[in-house]
Amino acid sequence: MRKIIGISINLVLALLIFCSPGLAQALHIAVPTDPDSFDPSQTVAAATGEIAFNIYEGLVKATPEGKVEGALAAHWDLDQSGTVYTFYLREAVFHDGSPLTVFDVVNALDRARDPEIAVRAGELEVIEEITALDGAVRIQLKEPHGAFLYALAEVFAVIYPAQARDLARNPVGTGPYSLREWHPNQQLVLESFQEHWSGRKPYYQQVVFQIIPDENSMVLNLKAGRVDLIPRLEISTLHQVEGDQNLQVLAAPMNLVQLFALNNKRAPFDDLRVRKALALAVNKEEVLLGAAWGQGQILHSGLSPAMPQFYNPDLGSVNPYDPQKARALLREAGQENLKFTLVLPANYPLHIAAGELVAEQWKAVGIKVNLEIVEWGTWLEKVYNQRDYEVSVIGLAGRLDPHAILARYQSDNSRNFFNFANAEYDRLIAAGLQAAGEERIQIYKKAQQILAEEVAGIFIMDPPQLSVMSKEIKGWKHYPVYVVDAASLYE
Amino acid sequence: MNKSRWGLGIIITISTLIILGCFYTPYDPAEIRVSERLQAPSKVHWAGTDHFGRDILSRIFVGGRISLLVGVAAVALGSSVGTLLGLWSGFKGGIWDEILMRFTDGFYALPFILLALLLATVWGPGVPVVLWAIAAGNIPIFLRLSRTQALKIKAELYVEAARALGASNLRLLWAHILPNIRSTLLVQFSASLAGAILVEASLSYLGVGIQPPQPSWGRMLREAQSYASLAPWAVWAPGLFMALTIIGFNLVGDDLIDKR
Repeated sequence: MRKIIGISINLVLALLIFCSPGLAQALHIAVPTDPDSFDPSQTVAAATGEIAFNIYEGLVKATPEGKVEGALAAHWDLDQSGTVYTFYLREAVFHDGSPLTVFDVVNALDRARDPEIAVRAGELEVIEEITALDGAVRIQLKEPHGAFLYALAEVFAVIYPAQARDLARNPVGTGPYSLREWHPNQQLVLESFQEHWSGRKPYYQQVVFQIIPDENSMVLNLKAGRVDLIPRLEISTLHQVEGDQNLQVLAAPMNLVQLFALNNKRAPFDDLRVRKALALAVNKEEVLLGAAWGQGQILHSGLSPAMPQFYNPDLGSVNPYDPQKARALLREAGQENLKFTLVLPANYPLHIAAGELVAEQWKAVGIKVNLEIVEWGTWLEKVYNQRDYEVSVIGLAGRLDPHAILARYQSDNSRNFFNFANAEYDRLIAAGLQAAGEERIQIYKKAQQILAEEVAGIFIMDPPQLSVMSKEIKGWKHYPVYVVDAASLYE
Repeated sequence: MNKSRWGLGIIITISTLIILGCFYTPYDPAEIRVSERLQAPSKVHWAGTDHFGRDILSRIFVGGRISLLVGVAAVALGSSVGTLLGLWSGFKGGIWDEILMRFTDGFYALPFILLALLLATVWGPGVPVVLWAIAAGNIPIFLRLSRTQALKIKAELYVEAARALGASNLRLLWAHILPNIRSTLLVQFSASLAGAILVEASLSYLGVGIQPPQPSWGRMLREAQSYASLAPWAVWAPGLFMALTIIGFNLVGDDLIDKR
């Protein structure tokens, strides 16, 4: 009898140990959307960059301070003219075991700047020629470019083996983690890469990104311990975790620009008076309070105060809340009975709430707004790629350099889904790359003023990034760009 | 008798409130006053306010209109199509009856929600999705019910007698069969209505039903869930109305069964 009891106790113990998977070696991170594609030449969604940051590396990479440091390039130099960069490569190995060569770098960057292949080729169009040297790569620019290094740190400029195929589903990079499994709309399993060039091994052997579109389920999963970390908590659920003893909430500016995108080319939004009327009718304070529970920074143009050096703080008076004047402008433009559809992305409660609030504010000045909530994939295709919309709400993820953020309003920019076109603005953005120091700062301040005055869009707020995780997790690094740095986390 | 009185009482009260809501609500249900958000029930706001400071009671009245209208319209549509097909199928018999019944079996296997999600991906979410999903879901229920009844009554002596007297098929169906299955259909109708309100709520809760800014009971529950711990009234107020309505319809249905 005693024997049987003994055996069963052992069995139960064995089961218990067996059932607790990998004891602290796997980290579960909750994110709301599935990546669109891991092919660096195809991806446009910030949700992909967030995960890809752990898989791919470029010649350089972003730091939490908003600067760049060497990644696959150990160091680099720039010639006197400011147009020839030489990057000296490290010895590194890809996830598939092949060593990094100069040809991989040339191939990846040549593809990234080829408009036939890469959707974001425009961001690297300043490159004139890329040449392979012995252990180094020389990049010749058409002209000096103040933000070139920052562009190289982005997901579209990462390096992958020249022979790699089907990167969209099977990314191969040099990052601290490799993608092991991907169950679309469920989870992505990343495994730590043992041969990373730095010689460092991440604390967590496995990182699981779980796709949980609903913000409440996310929090419930966190509280139940099925998820360890939520990098971007929806503000409306903050109160659910605030009092919890086992959790910590870390807040930082997100460097995100939430705006109402107006299709500047489509009538009647091609009329500045209409755009201005729409802007004047929006009470941003109320949106901040109602949609973001009063947390965050109100914006007046396309740059967040999270970039203090370049931020133009004097634009609050350009489009103040003034419903009377909004009505008058609409009347002047002959649009008293303005009616349009506001498209909202289904998986972003913050944007939906802002949309509902502003729709009501617009109604108060006599505008009829039809709300349409669409799936994220539909949004990307219809609004972003085809530019087939009237008004929409979205958050534009932060970048390291103001050029990368502001260039998207240039008339010929591939990311300009607002169809904003202003010759003076185009000129300023081009000039910003040649300038340096105070002159460069003034150029971007002027550019922000144009965005506000011409109402490229209606800029609302920069919400705070609330990262929630269990108390045991340490080493969380906050970046001014949209990434999760899993390799720096430990317990 | 008692049950039905209670049930009818509940339905009539709620319907009256909802109809009243067409002409008068304490506040504009869409009016946003962010400074007054998440207020507990009080003399000013009887059921409190939601996260945008909208009056919950006003929204319940207006939301109920959508919930009830969509429910009634969808069930009426589904039941009339289902009943007509079922009667015809049971009365005629033969190959068409066989084919129709196999289709019905297939349809039964497809849950309401799944059908609605399918429609929502094709048409985009909104009222039509809810309406057609509930209607389509009710067709096989009424079809089967009326077919079995028609089969049974078709064999009755009085039907044969009527036929011998020269009554046409249409007259047989209309004057002899339909009145005899009326009570069965009514029971199913009230049960379906209760179900429809619940399905509408589930769909709106899932986000494929009624779209904002239009309030509906399910939508209100969805919006309230993220701050349920801060403002429980935003959950229980629409929930209570929904539960009461469903209980009302079920009580009436139960009583009809007892009477039969």
